Amino acid sequence: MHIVFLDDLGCYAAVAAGGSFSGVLSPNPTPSEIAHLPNFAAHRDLQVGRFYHLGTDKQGNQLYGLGTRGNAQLFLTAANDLLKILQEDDIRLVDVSGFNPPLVRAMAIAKTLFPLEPFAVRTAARSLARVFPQLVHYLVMDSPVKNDLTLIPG
Amino acid sequence: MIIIYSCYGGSHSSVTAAGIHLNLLPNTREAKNEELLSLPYYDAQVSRDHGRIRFMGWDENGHNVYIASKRNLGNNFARMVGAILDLTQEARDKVLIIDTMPYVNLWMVIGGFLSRRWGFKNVGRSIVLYGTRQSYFKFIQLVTLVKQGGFQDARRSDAHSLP
Repeated sequence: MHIVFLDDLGCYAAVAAGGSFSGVLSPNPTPSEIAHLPNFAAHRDLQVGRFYHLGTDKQGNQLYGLGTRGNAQLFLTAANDLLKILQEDDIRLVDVSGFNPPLVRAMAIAKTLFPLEPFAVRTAARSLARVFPQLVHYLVMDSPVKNDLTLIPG
Repeated sequence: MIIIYSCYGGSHSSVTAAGIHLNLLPNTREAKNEELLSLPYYDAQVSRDHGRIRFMGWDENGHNVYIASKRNLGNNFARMVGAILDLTQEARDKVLIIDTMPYVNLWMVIGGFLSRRWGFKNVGRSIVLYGTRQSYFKFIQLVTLVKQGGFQDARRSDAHSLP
């Protein structure tokens, strides 16, 4: 199965969610652990639609991040409709864009300005670390993959 | 194959193109207002419908024709859908997304905005119908190209959004 996490650029909350699913991150990770995740803040511009492979979870599911910048719900609706039309039940989409705090969005822009890159990445990781427990709670309690208990992280 | 005509609200240009594709509208002359208004979903979708992919019918070659609204995602919509479809090679080859926005004129924008966003149906609908008729032959040309398969080869080398 493929699990695709949607967020603004596909490499912030989506990467953290992927880290949680794959077991790389503990329930209370440090900002440094988040900042050093593969593909965290990997974007070079603000182009949406980029796909990031985030690894594999314990059940062998492939994890991805996809950037949808403010249109996650619209895209979720369209993609789910299309997957139903194609009768593809091997792909699950999870919107985690709501777990990108405004500061992360601002840092995503700052990250594209070369001198600010290290500062932006560290600040975004710190900001995400604060909301990470809520993100894990959402993934466990409310996510679209909740029907399949084997997919619950941790 | 699945052919999806997409535009901002899924109410006017995509519906018109899909209507021409399915022979619900004439392809040798300009459509009349009554013909346009008789199309399913024409000037009917509202904001909560955005994102939904609506079935319009089967064409003479057995292709399924759909419409979709993508707001201001532009080509990013096709890029994102393409990214999802890339996960399954079989699905990717089945879907063709056609962007009808390049053929939308100012009248359609103003009329659509008045009718769908602000609820001034009488005024907005008149303007959007006028605009649709202004661009009608462009939609015919687009659909003709789609039916001739002119986009099939291009689709393989680029994203799924055409033109």
